[in-house]
Amino acid sequence: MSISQQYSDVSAQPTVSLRNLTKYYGASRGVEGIDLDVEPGTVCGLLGPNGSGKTTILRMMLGLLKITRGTATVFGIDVASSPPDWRSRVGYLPGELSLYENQTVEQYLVYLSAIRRGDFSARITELCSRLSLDPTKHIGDLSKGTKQKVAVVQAFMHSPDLLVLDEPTSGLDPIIQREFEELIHEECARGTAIILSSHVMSEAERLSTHVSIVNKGHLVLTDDIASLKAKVTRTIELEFDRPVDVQAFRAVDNVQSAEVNRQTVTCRVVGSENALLHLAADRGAVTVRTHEQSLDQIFLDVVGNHS
Amino acid sequence: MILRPLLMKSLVDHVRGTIAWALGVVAIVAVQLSVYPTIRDSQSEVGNIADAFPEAFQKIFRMQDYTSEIGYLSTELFTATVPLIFLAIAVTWGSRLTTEEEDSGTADVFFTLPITRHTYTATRFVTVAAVLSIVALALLLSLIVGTEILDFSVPLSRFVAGAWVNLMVGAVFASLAAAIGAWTGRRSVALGVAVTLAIGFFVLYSLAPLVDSIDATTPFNPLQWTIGTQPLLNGFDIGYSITAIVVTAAFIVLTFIGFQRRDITT
Repeated sequence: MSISQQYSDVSAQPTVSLRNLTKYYGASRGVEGIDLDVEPGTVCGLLGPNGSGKTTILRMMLGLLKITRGTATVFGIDVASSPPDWRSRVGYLPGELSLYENQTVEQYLVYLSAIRRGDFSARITELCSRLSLDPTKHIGDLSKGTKQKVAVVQAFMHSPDLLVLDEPTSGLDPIIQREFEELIHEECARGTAIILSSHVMSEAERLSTHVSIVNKGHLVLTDDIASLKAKVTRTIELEFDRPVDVQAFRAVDNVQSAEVNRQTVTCRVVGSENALLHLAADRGAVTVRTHEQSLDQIFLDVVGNHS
Repeated sequence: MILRPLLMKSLVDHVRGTIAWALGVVAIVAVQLSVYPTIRDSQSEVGNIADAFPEAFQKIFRMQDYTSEIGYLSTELFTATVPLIFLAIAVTWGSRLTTEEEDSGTADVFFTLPITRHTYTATRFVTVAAVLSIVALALLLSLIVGTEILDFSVPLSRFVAGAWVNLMVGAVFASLAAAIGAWTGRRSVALGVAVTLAIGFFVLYSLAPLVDSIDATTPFNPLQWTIGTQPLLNGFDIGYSITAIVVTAAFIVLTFIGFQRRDITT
């Protein structure tokens, strides 16, 4: 089963559009029937267990893997049959990274700039400064985290219109992670479409405007973060200064259950909590505490349901 | 069609290896040439010794007129030593022609840059051609300078033909290894198969004068098209040169097709 949903502004052309995207390695299935659109100015968190097919989707989209069936279009261009000029507008940070160990950071970035036929020196200097990266260092002498910074710079240096980031913060320290997240927000505000594959749910939750979950080669859920959270069960605790009738709360729209303990009513809600909050206000609630389900829990529920 | 930054990087990355191969060829030529005056001075004794070698040995090493300048150089340099160096360069470079970025793990970033795989392949072929040409040029120059110093009377065209056939040995086997690498995506497989084929062809080429059934295979043996023409003795063989060029071109085309069709893996 695959689920497709047009994101945000339906009048705009999606930056990425995947239709029935399928990859087989011989008789072995990689992914099947992937339908996905990613709009400009959105961050699509591509989530899934190890081996679920996330990287296969990204690699087909970028032309590294041949598509068995279906289509992948980027900026409206069919990636399988078009010249690769469209890739000048794409930045890619692969999950498994290797750089040219015999070059300095600067030589590496200048080399990639030359192949991209551009001079991005000002942006490279800015990014190196923000990520505390010394461009004169030899790549072979760098730690894993510092190499990851180099990878971030090469992905961002040409101000791409599509960023594909596969486990981007792997190895980055918390300070640099924060700077990286700032970069993501800036790029998103500039209108860049971003696909972020991550195992770190808190990171995906913070950065993504939309989430797509892949499991066993199929896209099992695609939604924006707010809608997703509205659809899952949340626990709302209402504290009153006097005893209340719990039956009234059980009858409210969207309330799945309600329990009372002394002067506190605990409700489980799916969907809008407006009606519940109105009743709580009428009955003189003094404290409202909402316990939202984390993306982590949503992910586990979705993947568990499709296992 | 040629990606200049990649070409420059490939050449710079392998400049030391190329110089080492070229110096190796120059050193072998120098050593072999330095021995010849002794042979020339003892021509009749050495001739008798050479004649006393088993006939099979003489045939394997194509020992025709061993004590003459051309016969000596043909046997000592062009039967095995120098062609084996070109074979080694060819299979080493050819096998990594399309697989090097994947082998080193840099393919993911590289092949998402705005370049075509054809451009990459063409640039890499130019790099290999440059390396083989530099080593062939080193061979030619060392022969010209060395024989000038020792006052040989071998026509220049024979040395050019000698360097040419070795260049063709490299071209055929480099493109063969490249084609295997392009279709399999695995350098180790390309290297293993290309080395096995090179050794096989070399054994068949060596034994061909001794065994009729093997001799029947020589028209299909790339070594026969190249060193088998014995360029120092016979000069250019246009027909076999064209054969080698056509086969090289076919392997190059297969490399382009294979690399275009397959997945890039890491």
